[in-house]
Amino acid sequence: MDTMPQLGDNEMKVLRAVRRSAMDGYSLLSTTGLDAQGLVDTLLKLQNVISVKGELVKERVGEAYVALPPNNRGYVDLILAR
Amino acid sequence: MAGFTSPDVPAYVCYAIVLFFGIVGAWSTVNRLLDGYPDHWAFAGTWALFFAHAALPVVLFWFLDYVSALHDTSIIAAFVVSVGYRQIFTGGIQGIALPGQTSTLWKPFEAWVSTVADRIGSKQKLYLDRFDDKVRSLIFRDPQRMANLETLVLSNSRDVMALQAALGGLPDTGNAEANRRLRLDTLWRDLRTSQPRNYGWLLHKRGIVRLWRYWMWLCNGRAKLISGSGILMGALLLVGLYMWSSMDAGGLTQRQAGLVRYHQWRFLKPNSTERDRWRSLEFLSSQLRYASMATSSKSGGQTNPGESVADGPPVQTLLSPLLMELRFSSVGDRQVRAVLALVVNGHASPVDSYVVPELIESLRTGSESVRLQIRNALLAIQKADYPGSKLPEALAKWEPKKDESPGDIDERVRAWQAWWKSAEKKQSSR
Repeated sequence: MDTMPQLGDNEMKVLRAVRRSAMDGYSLLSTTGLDAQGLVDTLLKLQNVISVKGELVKERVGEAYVALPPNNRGYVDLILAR
Repeated sequence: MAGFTSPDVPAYVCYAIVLFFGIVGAWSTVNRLLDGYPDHWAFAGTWALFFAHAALPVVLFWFLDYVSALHDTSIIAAFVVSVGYRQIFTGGIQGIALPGQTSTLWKPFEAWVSTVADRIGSKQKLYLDRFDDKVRSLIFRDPQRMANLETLVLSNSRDVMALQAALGGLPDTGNAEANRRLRLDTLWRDLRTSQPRNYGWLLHKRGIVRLWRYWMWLCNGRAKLISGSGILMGALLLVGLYMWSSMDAGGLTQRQAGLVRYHQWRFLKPNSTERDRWRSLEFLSSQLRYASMATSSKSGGQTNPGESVADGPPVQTLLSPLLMELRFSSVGDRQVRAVLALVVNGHASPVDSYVVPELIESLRTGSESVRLQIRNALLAIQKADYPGSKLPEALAKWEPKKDESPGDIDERVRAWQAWWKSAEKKQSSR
């Protein structure tokens, strides 16, 4: 997290969603409009920033629980503010 | 901050201010830190974090007073610490500096917040999984519920065609139960995807899930129950504390006994303010007066007309911890002067009968300057209350010196004890 990564639309959508509230994968699919594989790929890219509980596979990503740890909130705010 | 001009109020008022703002601040801090985690008040970790945040400014306030960075009787310092304790920890407030590496203590605290948040995330996931498992097993065992679920999912699916295709494409395992399980899983996933936030409510509306289960697991029911119980327990604790403080503790209520202990602490505190010491001196002097009057009225003595004899703590309760300090060889000069001024100013026969033997015994202290002050106090009491009982010449002229041996001191102590025995006898025979 030393340098600001270049994040795509999908990553920004996920970060915006989890910045508001932790949620399960089903809610995240609905909020971001991503498909299951897209969400898996995005969560894998963000795994240093967000906390994911559960398996990151297409079939079970809906049951994952995704949250933004309090210590990373400032960093994510900075990314979202760009 | 120590030299800051601020209204000087009793320390318990300042600590109450810090605690009150600490609780308010802790509530808002915990909510802010964990606002991303719905239902966070349902977890013990959140409550531990809350109590730690509430206690932290109080502990910091005490510590800053202990290291003389401020006075715990300064009302402005109380407000500054209760509002800005985080900035104090990170060294952001000029004039209030924590000694050494104390400010680094904030880092483990931040790490703890992350641990609690992570644990809440794990538990949330566990609870959602348990709810899913429970509801799915309920549906699986009950054909009527299964039919209701199918109707519910088909009427709420985002893509009915795809759902029907998925259901039609399910393999036949040759086992009716396995086939039903596969069908249920497909329906369940579609419901969760189509209605990620409302699926619990829809299940309840269709009669598949009972209201309490839905409320408990998906409507912050656990958090509401635990918070409600916490508030109720807090209220009960306050009522219990009030009742306990009104209970009798050796002739005094616990509240009175606590007040006496508080003023004894303030009286002996090395870095207390002049005003704070004066408040405690006034309190202890008045209590000593009451105790003296109560004792003399019980023993048939005279009290001043118009003065009522109030119930006060016994002389021993009032003075024992103060006089005990005189035996400590490194006791501060200010404390010695204050304690001896209190007992000499409060001299009266009922007080003397406890104080004089204690003072005589305290002559054994290793500090010759303290010994000298105790001797002066004994002489003052003798002149005031026992002028008829003359001191032996050697004792009256005794000047405590640095190189006195324990044997010499013991001799003086025994001489004082002998004098006191005869003086007390003479006093009681009158």
